[in-house]
Amino acid sequence: MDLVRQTLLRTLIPAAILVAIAILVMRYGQPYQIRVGYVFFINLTMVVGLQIFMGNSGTASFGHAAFSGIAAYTVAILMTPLMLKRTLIPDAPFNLDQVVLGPIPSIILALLVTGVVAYVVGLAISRLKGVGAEIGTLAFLVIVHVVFTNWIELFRGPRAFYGIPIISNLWWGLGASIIAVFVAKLFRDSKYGVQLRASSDNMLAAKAMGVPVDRLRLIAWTLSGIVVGAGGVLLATNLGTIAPTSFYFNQTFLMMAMLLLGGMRSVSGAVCGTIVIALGSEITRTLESGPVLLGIDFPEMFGLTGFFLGAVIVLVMAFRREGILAGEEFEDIWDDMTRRLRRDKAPAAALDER
Amino acid sequence: MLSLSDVSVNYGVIQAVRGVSLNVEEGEIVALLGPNGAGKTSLVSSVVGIVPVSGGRVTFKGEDITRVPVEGIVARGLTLTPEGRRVFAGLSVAENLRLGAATRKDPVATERDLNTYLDMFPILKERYHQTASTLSGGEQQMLAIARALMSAPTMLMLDEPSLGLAPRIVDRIFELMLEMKKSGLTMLVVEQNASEALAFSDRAYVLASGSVVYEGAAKDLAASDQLMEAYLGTGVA
Repeated sequence: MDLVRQTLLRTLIPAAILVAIAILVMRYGQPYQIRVGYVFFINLTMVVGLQIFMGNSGTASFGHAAFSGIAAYTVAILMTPLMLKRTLIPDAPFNLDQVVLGPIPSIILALLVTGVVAYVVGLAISRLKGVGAEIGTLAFLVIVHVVFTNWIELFRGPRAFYGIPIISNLWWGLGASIIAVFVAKLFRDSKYGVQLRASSDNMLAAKAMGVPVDRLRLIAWTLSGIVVGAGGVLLATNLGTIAPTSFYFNQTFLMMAMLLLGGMRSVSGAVCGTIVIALGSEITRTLESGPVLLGIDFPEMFGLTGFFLGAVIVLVMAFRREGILAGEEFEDIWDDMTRRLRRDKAPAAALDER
Repeated sequence: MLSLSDVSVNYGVIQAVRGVSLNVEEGEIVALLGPNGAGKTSLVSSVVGIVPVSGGRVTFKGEDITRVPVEGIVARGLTLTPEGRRVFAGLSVAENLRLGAATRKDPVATERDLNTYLDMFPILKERYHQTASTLSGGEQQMLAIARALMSAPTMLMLDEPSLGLAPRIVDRIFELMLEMKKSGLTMLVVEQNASEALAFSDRAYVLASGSVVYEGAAKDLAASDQLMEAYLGTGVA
């Protein structure tokens, strides 16, 4: 309980930043900026979710976009009105074309389904280590995509699934991302999180300490899948339209770039990276259309946004592999700064023998 | 307390440990000596289950633990500090110590032990919130030992605790081991630093090419130049 209270306190800084962003966007934003703000919160929820697995286990995952897809499609299939469903998926299996649920049960079920899928897949992934595990997650992404595009009776295949009731707004996104930050921080500082981070630091020593590495990886993988799934729910219930391509490589690389730029080892890194990439993407998107800025007429540059993401990944890997925050939380940086100030005042601190 | 009978460890076709039998009685410090590649690390790693035992039996306090997973063995009170220190470099000293207690379920006693060991290793108290990677080699070894102690072991196996450390720090670590012995801890110490290790051990085993080639009282081995030379090479005695 002490940990929960501490984590609540430690969530205050990122929460305040996010609330400020939401209020600014809602107060001064045009519908377009509000949409951008909403997408920012969706991505933030997903990136923070991804951080739970990647940051603690030290294993990259290319598969998490699939979890957002599973959750989004589950919500879509459960919530869409019967009338529409009869035309969208008339031959749905398990009589799903005759079932419709309210928003709350749909969302809960969607997260549950995502959790179960994550757990089952995790049984295999958590036993793999290093590159083996990473290739495994990539295979998972492809498998889920293939199922979406080919199980036409249930998912409409490559065509869009539309008509999902639009029930969420920016405040939902804000709430979800604050909860995600809280959950991620709680896990990171919990006994499980510390043990899992230790195992990614030094697998052998962690095992010698009796850390059940595979089980912890499974827990982190499942929890992180559910949080990313929450992002998928937000997407489906705000856009009202989803397609398999929304949950494939583009989304994977976007999330990856955001997490790597900020530094995957900390939750604050995930928040920081998402903010920077979201701003950067908006700027490049404006430049793409060839605007006139400060009297300079820019040429049209299609594909600049994708180029920007790729460049960010390459530059971070080349010059700052640990990301902007290098694995530190906002609070750690604050603590370090105050501690350093205090130490400067007491230079007599004993020099140790080395 | 710990008893190995006919234990073998294989890596594929290579046999690293060939039918080793060994006993450690309660309250003893036993040295496990031998040249590089003799199979010492493989042997202690297999005892705690990090490396699978390919043949033979390991019993701890009368219970067969040959197939018990690592966390089960640590929970039963047998802990290994692996070779090369292996502290969690990215975590703080505090987190490293907390990790030692990974298998414990008694928060009050854990907290009490933490304070005991912080008094025993004052340097760790000083560096409590620092990242372990900023510690010197000797400090990291102290941390590795304190971390192992945090699992409340009744028996500790130390794999090359003196490796790569300055002589003064090595002496300090051996002193600490004698202190721990006084508090009732049983220890099996893997060492290449034979003469130093024999000075504070009760008994010794010498391993060569995966087999036990000598066992006996530490002082007998240390006293005999002939034995030292035969088993541990020239120039050690």
